[in-house]
Amino acid sequence: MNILSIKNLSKTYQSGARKLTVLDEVNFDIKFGETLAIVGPSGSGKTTLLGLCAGLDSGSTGSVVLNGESLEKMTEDQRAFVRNQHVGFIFQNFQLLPTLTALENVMVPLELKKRKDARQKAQELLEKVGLGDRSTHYPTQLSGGEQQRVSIARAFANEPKILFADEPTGNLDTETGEMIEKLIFDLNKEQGTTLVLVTHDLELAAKTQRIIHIKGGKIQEDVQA
Amino acid sequence: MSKPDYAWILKMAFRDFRKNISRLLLFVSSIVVGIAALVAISSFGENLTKDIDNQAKELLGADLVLENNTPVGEQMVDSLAVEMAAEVNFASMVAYPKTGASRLTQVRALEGNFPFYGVLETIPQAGEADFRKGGKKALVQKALLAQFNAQVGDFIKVGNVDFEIVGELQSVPGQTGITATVAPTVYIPMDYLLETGLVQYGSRVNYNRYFLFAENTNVEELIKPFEDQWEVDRVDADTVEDRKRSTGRSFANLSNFLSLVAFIALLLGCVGVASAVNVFVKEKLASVAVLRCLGVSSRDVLLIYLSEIILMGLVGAVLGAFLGTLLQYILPAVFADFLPVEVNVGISWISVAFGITTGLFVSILFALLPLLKVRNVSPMATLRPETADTTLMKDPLRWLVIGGILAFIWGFSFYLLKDWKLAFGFTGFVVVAFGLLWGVGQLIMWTVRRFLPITFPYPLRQSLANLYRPNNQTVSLIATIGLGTAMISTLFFLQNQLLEEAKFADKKDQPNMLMFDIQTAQLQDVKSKITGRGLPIMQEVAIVTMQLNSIEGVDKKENEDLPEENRYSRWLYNREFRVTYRDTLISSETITQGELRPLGSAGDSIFVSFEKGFAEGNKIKLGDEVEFNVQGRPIKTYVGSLRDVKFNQVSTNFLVLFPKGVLESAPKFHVLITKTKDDREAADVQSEIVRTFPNISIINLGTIVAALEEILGKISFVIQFMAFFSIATGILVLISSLIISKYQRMRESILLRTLGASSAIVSKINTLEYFFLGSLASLSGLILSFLATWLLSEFVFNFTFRGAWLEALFLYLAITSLTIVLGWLNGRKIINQPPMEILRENG
Repeated sequence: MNILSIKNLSKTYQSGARKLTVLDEVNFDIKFGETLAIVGPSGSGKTTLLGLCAGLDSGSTGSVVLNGESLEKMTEDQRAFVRNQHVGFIFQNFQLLPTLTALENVMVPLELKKRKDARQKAQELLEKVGLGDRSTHYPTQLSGGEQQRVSIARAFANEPKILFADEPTGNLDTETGEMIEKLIFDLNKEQGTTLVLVTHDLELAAKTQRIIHIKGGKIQEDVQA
Repeated sequence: MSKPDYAWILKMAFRDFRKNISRLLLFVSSIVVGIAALVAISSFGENLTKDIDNQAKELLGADLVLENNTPVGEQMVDSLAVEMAAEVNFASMVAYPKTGASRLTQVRALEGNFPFYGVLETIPQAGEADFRKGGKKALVQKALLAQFNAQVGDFIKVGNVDFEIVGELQSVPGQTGITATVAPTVYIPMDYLLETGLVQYGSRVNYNRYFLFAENTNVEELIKPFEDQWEVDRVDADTVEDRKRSTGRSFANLSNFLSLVAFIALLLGCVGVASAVNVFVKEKLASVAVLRCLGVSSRDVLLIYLSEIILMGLVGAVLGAFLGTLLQYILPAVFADFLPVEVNVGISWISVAFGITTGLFVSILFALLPLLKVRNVSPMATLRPETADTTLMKDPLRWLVIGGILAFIWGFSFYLLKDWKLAFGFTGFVVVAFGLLWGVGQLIMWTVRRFLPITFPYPLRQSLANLYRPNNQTVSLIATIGLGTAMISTLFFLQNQLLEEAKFADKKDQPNMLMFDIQTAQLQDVKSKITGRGLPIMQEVAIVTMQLNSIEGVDKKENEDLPEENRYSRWLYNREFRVTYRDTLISSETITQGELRPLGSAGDSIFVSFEKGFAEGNKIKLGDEVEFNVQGRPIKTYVGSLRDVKFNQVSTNFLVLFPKGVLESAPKFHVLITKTKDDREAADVQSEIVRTFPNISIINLGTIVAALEEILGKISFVIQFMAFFSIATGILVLISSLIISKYQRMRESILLRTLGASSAIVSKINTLEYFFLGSLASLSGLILSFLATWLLSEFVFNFTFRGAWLEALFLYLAITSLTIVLGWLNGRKIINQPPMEILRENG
């Protein structure tokens, strides 16, 4: 059973008279609970692919079916609803809301789902990532590693079916990076979430079940680890 | 789409708000001054209206006043009155024998206990009672005593009679400070009026009869049966209700005009709000992208930030309303010279509600313009931040908001002006003024950017480059400070222009002294006195008084029966026309339609010439038949021409001009115009003529200039007071923009300091940047005001435009210095502290 199906997906940008193809006829499926890494050099189209898979943008042609729902015909607000229901995100630069405390950042996806126990659940998640005592701190009062841990707690808060992570350790030192990797994989295993990682780091990619190599907007290789 | 979860939206707004409170408060600070001005003026207007209602009896001094330019005589209504008084008033020279000086003054000869309501306030207090005891005593307005250094106990000469001054008159019922400047008053007893010898043929005299009725009399009802007869007799009846209406209307117009000026300050503040919210939104784009990524709809994101703006708009509006309520306490002092009643200030809840609603509405409307951007932020911006800032050019909602802003400006001005065309005019003025300032600002910036030589020293180039720094708000600062500057400088320039024009007339071979009310028997003697001093007779004009009987066969009574749109002004039939006769034009006149036709050019028909503006304003056209009543004799005439008359010269100008050969035998009086070398000679001539011929009134240019200076001084104080709101708003926008960009400036300064720049260099760059900002804003405003002054001079006042360069330089220096000082105060910490310390402090 697939959580994500990508069929003939292309993305083209028009720059003046010039047409720039960033993704070219990409096809692949991801099964429920699978872990997958998308790797490739800078400018290869991997971040664009992640954005399209997660419904952050729409492709020029082709289709994206997420949890059985076809995204390409949806409006942006409909896709937002899908994201809230089924998708979690972890970003390279953490992307916490600077005016919200750590706890409130984690509460947002839960509140959007109208969960009555949003505060309690968020606190539990913060405890899980080791930040139970920092819940009232604002992002600027936390270190990079701590911010990424809050971001992970937020990503798992709505119990997503699929989690997208864009260079989750890219902005962290090696030691902290390893700790974050462990946390992501542990929580992923615990919740049975599908994980899609975009990374330069082949060591990190090797920890997933499957690696897609992409170059020039095309899939070069799709290998099981 | 599901319904918005307002509770959650408000919760998110609050979470964001608590971290941004100081910055959001800065945004709304821009509207505080505008709202304060609006509430202050509106409250003051409300209170003034109430006080006019409460003090209307004191305003009139009686229950009923009958007024005519011939003696009113006994009336049927007399028998219904409890008490009556009479007054004859006219303008005449009043001399001060102690110094030999004299001045044209409003003389009021009084009989009876007028005013029945209120008092003639005098110093000493007993002066009024002393005056009423009888004898040759006078009450003299304080401005006159001050001008001629006279005091109680001295004598004044009114016509042939010397009166002892028994009281310094502090106030006269219904008179304002400004009318006292134009026509200061002297009260004399009616018993000596004839003895003064001032009421002669040609004297412009008003006869008033004052009535006091029993308490609770409905005066309006009481006088109804007499009104028709008074209409026929050209008697003007004025009741307390009439006075309430007319005074209330005048001050409602004044209050609306001032509200419009306050509204401009508010609009400037709104530009500040829009500009600050634009910076706020740009900083929020990353958070918006995250929220979109987490599944928040574009509508809900907009609602989160809009909620914050609404809350802040409300805070700003309430703060403004509070300040405005306090501010109105000083308004009676500001408007003291224009107020006929004592104003009791107090909170006007209607005005407070009006101010809060307006403030809230405009802050939402103007904030929406940049805020709409958050709807278009793609969640993809979380992965590619550079895609977050989108343009709104194609967003239909943006155009809807712009339309809403224009509709609001129109609606608000229509509410104040009650005239849709004027409201369109005002909206157009606002759009053009802002457009011009924006255009001038852009042009100057483009020029600097395009032609900035690379050879300039680094601090100069860096400071100019800083003007283009993102979020610097340069153009909105130019618009706000520039418009404030434009308002103040236009006022300065116009005032200067008016005074220069008046003074300039004296320098050329223009006449500077005008003598009127000269009786035919006195003419030769007066002429000999003038020529005996070697002065020229520059104009000698005979004047005949007459009234209008009918236009196109429509007499006064028939006119009343005509439908409103066809009716001629009632005033036309009641006024006294002062007419001269000649077959040639003088230098201040030009024919615009028809021709000047001498008698006999078309049978025995008489062709007269009307002043163009007067004719157009009263529906009188070329060829119309107009019948005049010349001292009881009807004379039928036809409108043969229309003339454009320049009224800004010392000259005799007439609304109606007869040809020669018609009025020569009618009773007439004369006007002579001459030119004296200087003010001293003018005073000597005036003194000699008044001594010999006390009935002759004299105006010299020196007096006009002095009165003009005094009046303009009083008016300009009020306008400067109102323009202050715009300048204050400009300063608030400046301060807010400096604080908003403080962190950006800080980063730049730290970078420069880290790279080795001395604090002197950083300080120089900052000072130069503020210098350029202040210069651009003030120069844009000055350019706009020169344009406005030129247009007004050329097309409204018919002046030759003269720039007030010195005043312009002063304003330029003042505004630029202020900008530099504010900028320096804002940035001094950055310059004086080590870079690491600042970095630590600000995380």
